[in-house]
Amino acid sequence: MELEKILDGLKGFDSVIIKKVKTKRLIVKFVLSEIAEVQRLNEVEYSVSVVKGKRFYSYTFSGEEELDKIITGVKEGFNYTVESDIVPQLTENDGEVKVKEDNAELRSVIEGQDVSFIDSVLAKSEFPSSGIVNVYETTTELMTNKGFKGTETRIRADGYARSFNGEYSGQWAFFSDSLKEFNETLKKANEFASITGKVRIDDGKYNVVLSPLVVANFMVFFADFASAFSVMTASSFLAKYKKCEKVASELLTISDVPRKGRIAEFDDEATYTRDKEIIKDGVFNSLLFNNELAQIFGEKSTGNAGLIYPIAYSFEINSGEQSLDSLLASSKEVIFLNNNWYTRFQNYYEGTFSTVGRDAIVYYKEGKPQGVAGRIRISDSFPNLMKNVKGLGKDKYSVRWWDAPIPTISPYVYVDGVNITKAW
Amino acid sequence: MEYLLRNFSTFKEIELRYQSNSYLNIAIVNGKPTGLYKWSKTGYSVRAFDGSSLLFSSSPTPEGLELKGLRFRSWEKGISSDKRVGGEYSVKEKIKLDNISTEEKVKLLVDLSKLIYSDKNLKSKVVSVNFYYTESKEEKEIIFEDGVKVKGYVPRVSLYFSITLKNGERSATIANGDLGGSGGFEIVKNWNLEEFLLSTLESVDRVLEKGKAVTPSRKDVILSNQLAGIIVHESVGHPFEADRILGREGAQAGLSYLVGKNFGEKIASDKVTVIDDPTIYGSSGYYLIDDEGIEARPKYLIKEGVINELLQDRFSAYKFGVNSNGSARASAYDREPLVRMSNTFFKPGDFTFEELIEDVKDGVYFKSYMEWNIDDLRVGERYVGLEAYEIKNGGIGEPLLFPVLETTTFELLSSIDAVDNTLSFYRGTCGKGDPDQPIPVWFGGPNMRARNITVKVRGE
Repeated sequence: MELEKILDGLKGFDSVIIKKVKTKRLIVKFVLSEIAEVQRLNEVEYSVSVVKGKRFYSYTFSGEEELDKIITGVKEGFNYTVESDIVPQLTENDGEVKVKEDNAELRSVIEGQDVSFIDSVLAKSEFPSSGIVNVYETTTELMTNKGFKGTETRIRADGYARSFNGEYSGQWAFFSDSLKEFNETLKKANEFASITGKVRIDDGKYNVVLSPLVVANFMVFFADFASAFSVMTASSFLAKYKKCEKVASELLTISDVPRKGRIAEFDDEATYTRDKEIIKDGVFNSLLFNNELAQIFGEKSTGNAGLIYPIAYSFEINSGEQSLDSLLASSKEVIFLNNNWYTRFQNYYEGTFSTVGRDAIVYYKEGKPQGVAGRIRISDSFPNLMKNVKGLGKDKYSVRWWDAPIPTISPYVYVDGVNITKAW
Repeated sequence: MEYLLRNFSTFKEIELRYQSNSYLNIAIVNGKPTGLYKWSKTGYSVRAFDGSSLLFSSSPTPEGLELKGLRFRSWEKGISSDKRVGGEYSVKEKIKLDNISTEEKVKLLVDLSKLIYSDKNLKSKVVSVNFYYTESKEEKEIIFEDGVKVKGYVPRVSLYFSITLKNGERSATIANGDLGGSGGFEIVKNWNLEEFLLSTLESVDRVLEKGKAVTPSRKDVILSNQLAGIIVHESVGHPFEADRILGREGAQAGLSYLVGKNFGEKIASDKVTVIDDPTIYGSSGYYLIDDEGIEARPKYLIKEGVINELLQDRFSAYKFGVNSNGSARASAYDREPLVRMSNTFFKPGDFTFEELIEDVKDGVYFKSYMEWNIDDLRVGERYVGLEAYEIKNGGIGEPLLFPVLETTTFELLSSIDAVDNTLSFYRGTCGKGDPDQPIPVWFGGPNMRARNITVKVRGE
């Protein structure tokens, strides 16, 4: 009702987009297997965007504001704009869509602030473990002056645990419909933390197996690389490639999956979302587009608006046929990376970067663990990594965590000849 | 706020906060305006501690705050009994941000883009030029169970730009977010952007045109003010956060090399003194009272090479058996206060820059960097030079193509044998916590000389 009133008050613009996102969230932060804090967050955010000719204005706010004040504020704000080279373009969509997920288990955790299950699972952890459990219900409403009206409610849980075994550690994460996954997550983090013994390796090229956590961290950056905006601003190595050009190993298929991941039914320009391959069998298949960038590139929107800046929703990497043990025995020497963080780029145009390994970084010889190699770095480039994928695990894992905030479904990935450096 | 506070009177320690953060962003992409964005985040939070359970709730409206008395096995065991101080702090806009029209701000950035695209001195091709200008206003009002009140108002301005150059097979992106501080539009007027941009651009162009690979080996290294800034933030500031040492950030940004070390222990050369000072007026990390009501003051983290003091809030201070030193900050209304840096810097010395390099026979001068990162213990770190030069027999020589400094904090801090008499600050956005809390800070320092450090070539 309130969105309709705002829309009514903003007649006279070419395009009006009003979005409201309401989230109820329960966050449990645990440290060394005890709960450090329980947070109950209520969030409401409105975004109002208006376009007239070559000028547009976007106003996002949380908190309660009187409707008249919002309408007046947007009109006043628009007066301060100047002509823009690119303006958001609404899809001619006057449809109505409603999605309402329910989940009694998760709803009762949020409403009742029920942390008993998490507390009891933590009490059984073999090693002291730290992390977060995040349970949330989000309702997104979108209305446009083209007649579109969309509402979707999603309920989800995600979290991660890092287990400490003296100077060794292991980590795992989940993104799921149930808190039961937390039990498995903690178990896996404990398993990785139980790998002990030290081994020293030198700088050089190694074959590596990346866990789904590492892949998910890389996907955060791949999301930016795949955005048409980044290609336009030369902030992506994909700016050097053309569609249908081979950019990766034929084993590699990377898709954006708003539908399969049950993340979004419609985008910020009222385009229905769809799952799409960005890299298909190693070939550059599509960037992520909104309407305005699609027009510049001579393409169609992929349903990834983001006004001006197209965004990714959720990633899936196709699986292969190998077990983890078989990937680890794929060559004489293999380094397994359980986790990483602090990925930073020298140059987005080249895709050159380094990232620091953490947790169970295990050196394997003839498929057998020789010890933990410590906090080594992958110092390489995205194009090299993608070209050198030589094996994929058969099982996929749905993960999301602090340094990998885009939900990612990925198998273990084996990559040949990765440049490894270390500081100590 | 007083009335609202009564709703939570069953809890022993209460901190009720109203916070508003508003932003205006102007984007200029490839020389053309790409929109005007305004957003604000306004709401309330309450954090309560009853001696064992720590609870937090936030909402855009006071009615939405939901605190429930919960029982669980709690990691927090107590809170330090520091004296709170009430009061107000603020930064003035000498030139009101609202008094400068959008047209003027846009024109400034469009003109700069044109200047870059038309620079005839460049041998490289300018592939892309992007500017992102942000102004923000942060208002806080906090009241505690004892009636003490704190009010803060800090307006800030910052600029981020990325310029991509291509020269044959070589390319580089100058990505820079160093410019920013608290105050009004006078900050922008003091930046001297034309000269700064053209000189940076032409220097990187020269690196692409003439830069040669460094010979990997141990060398004497001169770290610029900019390198000093990122190093002090990553290698000293973060590991000196007391909550990190206790493990509260263990699953996120990690732990600290200080676990198992003692105050008074030497971890750096006696030329190294590191200060975190929130009281610098006009800085990005400015405040006078922290979000737990504790008076802010400069903290000497390392004094002449020795571990001296940590950054503490009231919860970490309780576990360490010390007083809080006023380091708690929250980035938004819906975020808990955490132990945060403010403005962190290496203390300058009395050398001149010329004196730093005069006895370096074969070294590298790292003037600016592109990639950087550090491991989660804050020990192993890496910086890839953007603008870097060889030093031969006491003089600055030819440009080097992206040399790599990959070393440990202990080796680096122990090898600094001289620092010069300059002090420059750089704006940064420090990340911490889950949910994430990006927070404005400054970091900086003098030019510094480190002896016999491993310099590598970039491998791909």
